[in-house]
Amino acid sequence: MAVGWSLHHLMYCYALENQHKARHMLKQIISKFQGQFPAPIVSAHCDGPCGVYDPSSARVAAEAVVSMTKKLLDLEAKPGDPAYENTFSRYVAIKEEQAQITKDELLILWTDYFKPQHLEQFPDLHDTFWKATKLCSACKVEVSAQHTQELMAAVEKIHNMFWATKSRDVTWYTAS
Amino acid sequence: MEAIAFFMPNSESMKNSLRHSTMVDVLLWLLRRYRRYRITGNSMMPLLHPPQEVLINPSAYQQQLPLPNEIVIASHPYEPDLRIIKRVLFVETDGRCYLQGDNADESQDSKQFGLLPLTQIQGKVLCLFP
Repeated sequence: MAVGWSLHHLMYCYALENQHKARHMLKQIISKFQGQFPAPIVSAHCDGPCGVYDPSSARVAAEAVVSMTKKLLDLEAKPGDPAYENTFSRYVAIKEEQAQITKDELLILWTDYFKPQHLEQFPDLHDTFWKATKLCSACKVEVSAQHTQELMAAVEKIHNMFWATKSRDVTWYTAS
Repeated sequence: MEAIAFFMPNSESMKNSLRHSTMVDVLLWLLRRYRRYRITGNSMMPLLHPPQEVLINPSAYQQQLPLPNEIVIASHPYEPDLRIIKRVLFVETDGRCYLQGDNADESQDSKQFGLLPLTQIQGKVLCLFP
């Protein structure tokens, strides 16, 4: 009885050891295979591309720059008047902020949406974005109605380029 | 929102484990019944780290709907060539799924792109590979 049990136990241990060895070998073979033949990728990206782009966000911010610049130019100067100083500061701050938003939105379109094949369709793509983003800076530095209009024209051009790449006819419009 | 089931996020033990493949899984993969995929990105951490591989059953949802807490692979609704791996949070009665990354703060999922129809789900994640 005791001998029978011991034999059974020994066989069980032997089978278990072989099973572990077989598993270990299988893992090694699979790991080598994985190294040689990478599996297709599945994305768990923290900021995976949502693919949602629209130049309208740049347009809305650019319109705010136009509006704030116009308000600044129309504002009657009353040096020393706290109400005037406050209004002036607010207009400048909003113009600054919205020009930066315009710039950020344009840079996202430029670097994330547009691809090399779009450059074939629009050879002046880089120049257009470079000038548009420079205009955003100019609108921050200055109080220039001319530059705000040039910025709007640049955003309109980018709007047309963007929707052309999607073969969609989206009419340009402004909120104001 | 009418949902047939809802995953309770505090069942942490369920979230923190995914079994390793068995001989049977490997056999089914060799028979092309299962597929293997390699993880990129951090939205399923701490459970799944890049470049771990997983095995999926592409036909798991042919007869039944996904269940809350299952991990699935789906086509991104805006980038058809992009496959994403997420956890099912809940399933609507019409079969659309709300997917969420385990690392929710750093995940692009249904909170951005909404509910995903079952046709977008490519399979159920079964285990780590190997």
